[in-house]
Amino acid sequence: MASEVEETLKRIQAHKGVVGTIVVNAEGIPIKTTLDNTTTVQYAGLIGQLSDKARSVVRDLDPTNDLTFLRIRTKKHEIMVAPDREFILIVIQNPMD
Amino acid sequence: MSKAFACGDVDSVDCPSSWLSNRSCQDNGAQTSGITFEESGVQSITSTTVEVQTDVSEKQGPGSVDMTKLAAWLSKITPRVIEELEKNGRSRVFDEYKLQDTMGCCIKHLYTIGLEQSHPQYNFCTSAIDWSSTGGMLVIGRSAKEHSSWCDHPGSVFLHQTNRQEKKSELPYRLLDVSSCVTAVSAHPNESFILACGTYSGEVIVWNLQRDDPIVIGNMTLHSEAVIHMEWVQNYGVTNARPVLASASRDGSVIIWTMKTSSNTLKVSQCFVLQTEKDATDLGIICAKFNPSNSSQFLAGVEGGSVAICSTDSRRPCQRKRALSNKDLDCCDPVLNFLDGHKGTVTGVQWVPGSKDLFLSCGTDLELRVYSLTDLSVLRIIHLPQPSCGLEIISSHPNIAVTWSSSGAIHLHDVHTAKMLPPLDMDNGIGKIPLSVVRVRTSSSQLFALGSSEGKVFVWQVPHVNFSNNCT
Repeated sequence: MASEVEETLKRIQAHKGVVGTIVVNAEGIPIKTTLDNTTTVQYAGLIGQLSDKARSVVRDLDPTNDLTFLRIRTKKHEIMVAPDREFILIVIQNPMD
Repeated sequence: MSKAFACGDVDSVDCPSSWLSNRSCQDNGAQTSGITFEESGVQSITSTTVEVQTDVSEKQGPGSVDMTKLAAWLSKITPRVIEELEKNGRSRVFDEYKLQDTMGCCIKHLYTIGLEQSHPQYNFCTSAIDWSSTGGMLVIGRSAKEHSSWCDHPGSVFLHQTNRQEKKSELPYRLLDVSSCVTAVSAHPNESFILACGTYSGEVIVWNLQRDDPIVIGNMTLHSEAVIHMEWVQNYGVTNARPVLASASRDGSVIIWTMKTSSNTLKVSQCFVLQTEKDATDLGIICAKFNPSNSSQFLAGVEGGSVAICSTDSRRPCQRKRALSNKDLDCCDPVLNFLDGHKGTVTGVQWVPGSKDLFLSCGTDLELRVYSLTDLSVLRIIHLPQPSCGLEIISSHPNIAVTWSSSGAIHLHDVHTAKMLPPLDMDNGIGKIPLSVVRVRTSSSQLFALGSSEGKVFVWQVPHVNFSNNCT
């Protein structure tokens, strides 16, 4: 199963413009990453918080609704966040590539 | 005196000691109190020691992750993520998006569209321009500069895609042939594949461009002179109804057309003819514009420099009739009021977006007038540095009016403060462009399409900051 996870992450990582991929567990601890330690910890902590906040905004607006995907466009990158109950997948892409 | 110093014997005298004295002793007694001792007891605090055993939490590491669950979740989410990545790679949404701090006040020439000069014997100019509803397509009409009598020039409508990433200084990607010079074009506000055009000979044509071979939805020649304005009017009659097409001509007529794409039909819905108050003769229309807030109302700049406020609700009949294929079409006079106009030719009329009361007109008499619809009066007159050839309003900055002159100068005016903003310096090294028509696209960044009287179209990007009063 571990190899299957690795394969999937490699598939995403091989996509054009992808700078890094991080999988974070429900406690906000990064469990898989293709980035260095410091960057991973920063992304995991901050994006995790943002994702939680975004989810509560969506749910507060409509309790029957839920957050499925979050995209953040920055000057340098586009950060894609796929949140779930147990894991969060963060993909950082450089769309200019 | 003599006795005192006489010799004689005197008895000895004792001198008692002044520093010695005899010691005297005396006995005395002192009684001290006896030393007493006292004892008292002190109670100390009793303390007890308690030991607490806590559980040491085990730090969760990657090893404790349920890999089966993670693999299942990843396989579920990955196609979606890859789809988004691909979509993002293809997306052109941010292509023209520039942050304000990186753009500054810089006006940039993006590209030049050269219209095909297949008939060099004719002196063609760009006569009409319109942006499609999405802003991705530029529709350009071409016309001969002068007409001595009938128009027998080969007219053309050029389509140019502005979102293409490849080289942008190019020829248009599509060409629609028309029987005479094109004097007005209008792209549909909702369906970007529908396009209307009016010609010098008074013909109105509507195309459906969905297929490679454009389908003519309808073409009719009801105007007896050149069509000078074409516009899709939204919410006409009924709210949320499909937009109707309005065409205004130099012969004084305004026709409302309804269109059905399913059956490819174009029908005349209403016909209006502007007439003078005195002797009911027809008044040629120079420019027109429907009110976006009230679709039954429109402005018409007419011959003689007057501005007419018109309503399509008017049922005042006029003598003139339009010959339709099998019957005559009754025409109504739509004029509600004539306003004090310009001393020269009125070259442009516009409604101020977001204001139900204000509208503008400009003319060759170097005046830009701001009118009040409620009072039917001129609120303020802004003096122009050069005679204007037309008037545009920037919908994202409704207080800014754009006027241009045939010499190529483009001026911005704040209609509320009557202040002139710094002119747009659009000199790309070839000197001032002799302008025939200007259209502004409103989206993430402002694109100005400048049609020249030499048959070219220059597209410029103008950052929003240029429409601010603070920009110097």
